[in-house]
Amino acid sequence: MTIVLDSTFATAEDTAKALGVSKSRLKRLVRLAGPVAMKAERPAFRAGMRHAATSRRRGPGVTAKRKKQTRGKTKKAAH
Amino acid sequence: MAKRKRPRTDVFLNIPYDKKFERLFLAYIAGVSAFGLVPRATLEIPDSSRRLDKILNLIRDCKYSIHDLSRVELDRTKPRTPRFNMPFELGLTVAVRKRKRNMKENWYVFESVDYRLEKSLSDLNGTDPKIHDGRVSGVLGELCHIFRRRGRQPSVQQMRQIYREVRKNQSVILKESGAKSLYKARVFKNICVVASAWADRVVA
Repeated sequence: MTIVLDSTFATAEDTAKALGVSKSRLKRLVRLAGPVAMKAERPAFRAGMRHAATSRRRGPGVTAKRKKQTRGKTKKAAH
Repeated sequence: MAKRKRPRTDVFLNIPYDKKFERLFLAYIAGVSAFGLVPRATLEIPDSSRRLDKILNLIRDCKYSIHDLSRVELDRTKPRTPRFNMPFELGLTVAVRKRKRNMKENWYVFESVDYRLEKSLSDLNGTDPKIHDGRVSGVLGELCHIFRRRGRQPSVQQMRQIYREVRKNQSVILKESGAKSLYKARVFKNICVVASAWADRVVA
């Protein structure tokens, strides 16, 4: 006898919830299932965009020189 | 009025936990997950004096159950005894299902050898066991004969892909769980989550 299922399709989140898997572990496990998909979704991983993404993460206009200067000012203020 | 979300469905897997069965163990998890169902097993239950009550609760919680009796055979270590856990849990399931009047008999018996069940458990005469021949494709094919889903019906190829991906990640999962065997609660849960994630991706 064939059973026609009418329940919702259990996603990884549903399964994790049913089995008592924590959210952080779920995140790690889902990464195992879809690293390719995750890369495709993020524009940073597209060819030629890696550089732009890296600079965005650092923040615009904050150079190493400026960082050094800031550290110096803080040092002076402390004295 | 907002449409009420239908609940998920759990499947109780009553399967042997031995080294030789590992491939079929993964096949059952991959196959059940491919249908958008949640695999459950007694592996989740920690060893304690109340284990039997917890097994009964688990059976009650699951709408469907799959019982693999293919490895009810004598082990190598002395005194040589068969594992009675699987037939015992099948008996519990039948009793639980019979007790509830409106509950359909949604339990299925899997075997690897034709006509062996008639000899080993003649009380089940009239119940057709699903014969998987001890092969992954056999398990996946028989699961396709049991379940059907409108809209997101997985093909055997898709189920096989999920199985392959889970098997590929087996060592990573074991490492993450800090275990050497697949038959540990944490490993089982991790495999189920990974299989579900793949099913959600593969089965369109």
